[in-house]
Amino acid sequence: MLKVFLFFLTFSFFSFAYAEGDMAAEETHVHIEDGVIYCDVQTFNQEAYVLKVIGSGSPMTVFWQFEILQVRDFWLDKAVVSIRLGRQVIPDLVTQRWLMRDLSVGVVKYTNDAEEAMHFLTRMEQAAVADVSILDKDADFLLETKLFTHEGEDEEQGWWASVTDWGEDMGSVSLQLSQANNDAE
Amino acid sequence: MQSNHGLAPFLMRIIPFIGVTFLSILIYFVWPSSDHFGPVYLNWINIGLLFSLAIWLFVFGIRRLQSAKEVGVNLRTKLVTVMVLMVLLPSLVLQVTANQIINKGFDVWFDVRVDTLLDKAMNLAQGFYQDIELDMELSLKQVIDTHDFPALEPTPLGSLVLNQYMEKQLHKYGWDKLELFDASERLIATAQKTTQNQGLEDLTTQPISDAGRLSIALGRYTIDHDIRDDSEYVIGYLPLFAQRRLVGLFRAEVELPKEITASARSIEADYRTYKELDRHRQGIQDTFMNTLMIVMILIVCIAGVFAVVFARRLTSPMEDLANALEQVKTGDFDALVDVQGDDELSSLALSFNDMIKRLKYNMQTLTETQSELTNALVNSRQRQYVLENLLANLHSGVILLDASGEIRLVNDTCKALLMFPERSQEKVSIYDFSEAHLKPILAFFETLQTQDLDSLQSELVLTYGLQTVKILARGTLLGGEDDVFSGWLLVFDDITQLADAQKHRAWAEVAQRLAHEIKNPLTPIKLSTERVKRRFRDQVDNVKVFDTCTDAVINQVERLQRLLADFSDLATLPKPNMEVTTIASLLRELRELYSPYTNLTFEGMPDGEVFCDADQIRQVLINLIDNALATKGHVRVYVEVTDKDTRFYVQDDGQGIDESAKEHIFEPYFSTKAEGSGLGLAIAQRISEEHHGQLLLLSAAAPTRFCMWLPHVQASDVKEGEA
Repeated sequence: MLKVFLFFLTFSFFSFAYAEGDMAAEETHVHIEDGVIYCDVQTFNQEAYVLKVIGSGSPMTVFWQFEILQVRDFWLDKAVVSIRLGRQVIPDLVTQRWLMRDLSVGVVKYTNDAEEAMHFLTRMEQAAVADVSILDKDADFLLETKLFTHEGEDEEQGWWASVTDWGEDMGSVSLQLSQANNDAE
Repeated sequence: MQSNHGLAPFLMRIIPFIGVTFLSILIYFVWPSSDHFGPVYLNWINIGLLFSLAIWLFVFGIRRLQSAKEVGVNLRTKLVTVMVLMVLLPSLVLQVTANQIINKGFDVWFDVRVDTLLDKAMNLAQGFYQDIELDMELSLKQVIDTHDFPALEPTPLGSLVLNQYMEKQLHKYGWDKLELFDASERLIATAQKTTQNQGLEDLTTQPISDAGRLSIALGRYTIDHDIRDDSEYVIGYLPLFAQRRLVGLFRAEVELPKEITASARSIEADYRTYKELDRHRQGIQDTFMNTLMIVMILIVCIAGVFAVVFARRLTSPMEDLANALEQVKTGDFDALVDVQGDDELSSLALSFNDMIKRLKYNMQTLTETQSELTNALVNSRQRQYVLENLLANLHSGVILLDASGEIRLVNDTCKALLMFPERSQEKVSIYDFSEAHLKPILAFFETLQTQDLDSLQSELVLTYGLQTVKILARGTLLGGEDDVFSGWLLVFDDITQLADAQKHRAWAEVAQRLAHEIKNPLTPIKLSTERVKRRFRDQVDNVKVFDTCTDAVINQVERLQRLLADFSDLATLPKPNMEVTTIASLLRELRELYSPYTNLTFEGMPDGEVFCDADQIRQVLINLIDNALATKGHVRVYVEVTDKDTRFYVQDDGQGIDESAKEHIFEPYFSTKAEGSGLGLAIAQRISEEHHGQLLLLSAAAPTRFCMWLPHVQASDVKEGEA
């Protein structure tokens, strides 16, 4: 009886996790141009939340984390590349302008459209992740993308946030380096 | 004291409750929130399963606690449970109430009216900024529509016309500052409202912003905002074209009133804060509730720890008492408990210690008494054993009677002596002596009892079947009314042989004396009489008479001499020379001896042997047969062999024996015949008794029957008896 009970409990938990995994809505695309790996990624789950936050006047900061993992058979995958790209939106409700700031390059831009500011945070286009030359062409790699969001202008959330905030998994894409190498040649 | 207070057992006991706590936390995390994304039924299934598992673990933990063999654990568990429930239930009520209050408070806090008010305030602030921007737009439009600005190229820098134009526009549209840049973004003219305390440093020019460049690119005016030096400005850019060529850029600037911008920024900050709070309303609400719940759990845990400590302190003395009691049950009376404090439990411990001390003293006393009693019992049993052996080996029969006549003790000798019937019931009282041969015993006891005698001695004759036993009975009153035991002691001695021996010795002495006294003068009398007869027979006148007289004297003397010889035989009867003799040889000799007699028949010739002096037995039988033949009747002689004895019967069908003579027939000198000496049957009976048998007159009336029975005694038995 106890075994049956534990079976249902485990089954229920796994079903729950599986269902949660299915509900993650993200879209990640990778393309390699001129020996550089670019990634286009967009989250749909966060759009309403981000629009609500910046629409109510709260600054918001996001970090897109791109990791290239070398696939290993009998061990955990090894991270060979990891970059974080930050973006920030600071609303000005009185003038109804949203300051869009790219933390990686320091570009600042105002917009009067809240949705534009929202898309500035929830979309990352043409993000240069790595140069193909640093990767072993005989190995298999995965590109994993995570999105870290937090309200406010502070770029660092402290050690507690780094421990508790594991980010939103935006999915992983297999890298076809052989095709890229052929194109490059 | 044995202790079960180790850390490991304690951890093993609380593991189920740790599991319950873990499951409760898990339930909390699985509980679906209001903004839960996805299907909720899985959460409820998980919650149901986790809750069931938590309940099962809790019950298991409680049962595990209750099943522990540690003394007092049940009471401790109950105390802890009650105390935790006493804290938990009010805490739960408080938690529910607080949750309700928090919910209501949040509803009031985030009321729609507040939301609307803040929206309106925000709209007002935004409207103010929009109005300023609109004014700027209208102003710039009017500048464009009027076309009254001078041509820039022919106008030299700092020309009066341009300055006048700038001043005019500044005052016309109420701007605070108006700047004119050429196509190379160089400032060529500026107009500014003068204010008090304004210095030359205030004439610095701000660089063209992105909005300005955007206006150049778009070819139309743009509006921008700038915040500097704690002031906000609305800036309008207006590109100037001549023949579709950019020749200049107007930048008009209006400083917003600080009071209004401060208020607007305050409204914005409040609006943002309110929206943040509203957005995190559920989180804040959860934080409040979680804080309350954590506080409640902490209180319950502290109460639980306090309850455990308190219950342990409360039950520890009882546990010590119970352990001590267990030790006492095993016989260890050194199990004293520690007395701590001055409360009821310490008083109980003191009383327990006193009780144990008294119990120990009593047990020691009891042990000593038991030892003494055991020794006494051993001695008593030894005495009883000695007494029983003594009684068993005693040749006297002993009966111990209590006051009511109940038999308390009777030895085997008594049973044999009194000839208790073997198949009769076990006699428990003297009044059970209902058999005929035991009547004299009962009469003896009744005499002793009714006459209230301290002691009594009497000779009794018991007749049981063919046996007649003479007994010397002695009775003694034991104890008195105040003694532990009162009753009678009856002692019986078989004096049959002693009486017979005394009787025979008396008769033997009489016979010897008579023989001695009478035999001596008889011979001279006889010799004198014969001498007188020989000498004086011729001299007497009447010879016949003389002969008759002398013959009579001589005959009587001879008769007296024979009589004296019988007396002598009776007195000096030799000891029988016992040997094994066949019954057939005895009877055969007698048959030959009495062959002339036709009225005598020997019936049967049984096999078997008797251990006797054949001559003496033959003499007895001859005496009996002679007596029978004297009756002139038919005489029968026969023998019966039983398991115990051999019985010789002599029967005649004569006239029988008178009742008066019957009792004296075995007494010496008693004879029914004129010529008999009266010693034959007496000698015959003595010979029988010398052979451990008896001669009895079974029937005095016709047919007269005598019986001589001889026991089957072996030579070895006789020798042992003689020894």
